[in-house]
Amino acid sequence: MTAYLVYTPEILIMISALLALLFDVLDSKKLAGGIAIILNLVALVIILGWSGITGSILSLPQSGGHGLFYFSLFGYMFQIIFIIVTVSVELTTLDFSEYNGIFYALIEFALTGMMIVAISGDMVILILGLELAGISTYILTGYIRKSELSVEAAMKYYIIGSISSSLTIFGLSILYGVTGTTSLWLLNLHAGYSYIPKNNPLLYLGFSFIIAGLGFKIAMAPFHMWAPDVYQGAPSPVSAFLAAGSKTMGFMAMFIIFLSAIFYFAPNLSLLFGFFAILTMTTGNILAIKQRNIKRMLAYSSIANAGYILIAFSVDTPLAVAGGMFQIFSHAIMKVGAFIVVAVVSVFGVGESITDYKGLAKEHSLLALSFAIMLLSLAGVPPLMGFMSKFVLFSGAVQAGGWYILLAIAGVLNSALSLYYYARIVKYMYIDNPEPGKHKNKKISMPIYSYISIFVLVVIIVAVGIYPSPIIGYFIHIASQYMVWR
Amino acid sequence: MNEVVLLSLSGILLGLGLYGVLTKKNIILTIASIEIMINSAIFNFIIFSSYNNNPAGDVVALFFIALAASEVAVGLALALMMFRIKKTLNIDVMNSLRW
Amino acid sequence: MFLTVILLALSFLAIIFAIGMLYSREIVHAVIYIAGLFIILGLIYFMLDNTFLGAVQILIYGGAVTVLLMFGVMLTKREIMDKKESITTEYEYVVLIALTISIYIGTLFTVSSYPLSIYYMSMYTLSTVLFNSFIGAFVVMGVIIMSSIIGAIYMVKEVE
Repeated sequence: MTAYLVYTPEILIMISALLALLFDVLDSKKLAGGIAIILNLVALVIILGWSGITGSILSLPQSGGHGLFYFSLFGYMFQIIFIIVTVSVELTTLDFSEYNGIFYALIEFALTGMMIVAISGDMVILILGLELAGISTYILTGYIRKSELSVEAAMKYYIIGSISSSLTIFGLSILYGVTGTTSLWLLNLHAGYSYIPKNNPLLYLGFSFIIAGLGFKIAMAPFHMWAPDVYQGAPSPVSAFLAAGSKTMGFMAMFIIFLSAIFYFAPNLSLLFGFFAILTMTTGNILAIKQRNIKRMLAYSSIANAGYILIAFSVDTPLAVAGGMFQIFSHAIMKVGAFIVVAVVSVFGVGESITDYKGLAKEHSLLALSFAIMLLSLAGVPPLMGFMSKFVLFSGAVQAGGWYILLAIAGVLNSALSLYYYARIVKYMYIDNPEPGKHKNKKISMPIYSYISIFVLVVIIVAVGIYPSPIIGYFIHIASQYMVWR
Repeated sequence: MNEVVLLSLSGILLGLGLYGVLTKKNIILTIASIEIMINSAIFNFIIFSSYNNNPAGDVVALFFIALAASEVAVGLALALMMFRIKKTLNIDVMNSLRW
Repeated sequence: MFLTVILLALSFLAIIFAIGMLYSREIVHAVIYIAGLFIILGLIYFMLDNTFLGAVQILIYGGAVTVLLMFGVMLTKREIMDKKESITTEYEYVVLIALTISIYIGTLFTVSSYPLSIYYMSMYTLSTVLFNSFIGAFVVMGVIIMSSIIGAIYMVKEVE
């Protein structure tokens, strides 16, 4: 019985999905969302205990490789990110009338998939987790069924997601064929020995299929075209979930496969990842500049952030991996916050065009302030979290020396470029006057839950930015342990 | 020789499926092409399982067959919703998301 | 040798069916071609002595998935009666995909270390592995099927 205690968070989240369905039948949406949030927070507390940040309230029976699963601090850290993202999205949707119990059930199923990816130790669990999150998010994207944009985005996302998963499965099948095992952590254990044929060209073909498949998931540069369309068409809270949760899940899968299971080959793939990193960040930033729609702009900025994170895969030293994880964490927090603000201001009648944000500070000063903090943090302005994560990541690249310094230089130049389109919105909000006829002040009740989640996210951004040393230390601790394990 | 024939077949099927996804105009045929792609990956697992003397590949293939079937159900539901809104299944009408 | 000839013939047939699906003007014909492709793959599994997977392939793919696709065609019949698929060959995709796949096949020929014998997979072995080491995946699969059912029902429900 105690052996099953390790799955407590996942089971709690699955139960919350079923309860949400139950309360959907009873037509009490607030209850469904509330129970889901409470159970998620319980799971969060348990995982925080296991990951060594706070004291443990439930003793951990075992860690390391365990059948189909592999438990590590690394996976727990990603689970914490997934839960924070989901809870913020759920808090926001409590204010909107169009989201009912099925929404919470589906988002909890997607969260279950993400949690499973984070602890997966086997190809089949990895793919099933990716697909559980995938299938739920296809439906979530088309959640507003009356909206043409929403359904169209869902269809696009479904087609791209299915191509992505079939390419990933194909790549993993080659990996299985060459090595003869489906277990990822067994590969990891045996990698130093003669278990894997080292010079098998088929293996590299498999890697390229996996990179292409997961590249779709994380919106890497040649495979990024779907992301702006889907993020624009999806309802804003779901865009937040996709940009922060789904992308983080793709990175988790890449970490598990490339830096853990087949880490022996990581040096050979370093140049490839470096190339993709520079390509992705440049594409994202250049295309973001000319966007007129705020959600498309945030989508391109998300693509650029994927480029920064790919630096960690190329450099592959403890400091760079810690920086990559920190960047994933900060990107998830900032991006979910930004999309939530977009969702909330749409309640006040502000459209999705960038020019609609002119003069926002005069009417909604708190929302404008928090949006400005999030955008400046995404741009990497010093006292905020985005600066700290980029700093750790780029200093990891610089510390590794050699041609990796080029990656750091590209990253810094790109950050400078990105400041332009983030600062433009801040200027619109604070300096420009609102266009006449915009900002029809609808009579609505105060979106109090959204304010709570935005407040918490802003506090995290500012607090980590001002006092980053404990969290940087924790990430370096995870990364170095992770390097020792493999 | 047998295994090279079969693995080549799976590669060719993957390519044909991908070509179908990229060029087919009807969403139902796009979904069918995606099924061909997933099927080629499952085929690979089964071939490798036969030749590796290892039952894990077969079990994984079994799971992925079930997975593909549930994915097709969701895809068709989305296609029906799309048909209800746009009154057509042609993929060229998916053009309202532009900047 | 006998096996090789049969496998070659079945593979050839499978490719014919796949191309037939890509180049048929009637959507119903395309779905029938795809059913044929799935069944041929099932036959290949039978030839490899993997009878259980062959049966599953024919039942689920040849039966269930094909019927689902047929339902999709039937429910959207208005569209299909109106217009035939236009068949065009887009050569840039053909070249790109053919290049990738020929690299893959070329690599297959350079690798020399395939084990040679075909291993007979009994259902007993399969079920033992399925319900012992892969039981966790079984549970996750159940959750996936549940979420996809919920999602599909939500999607096709009438919008009030």
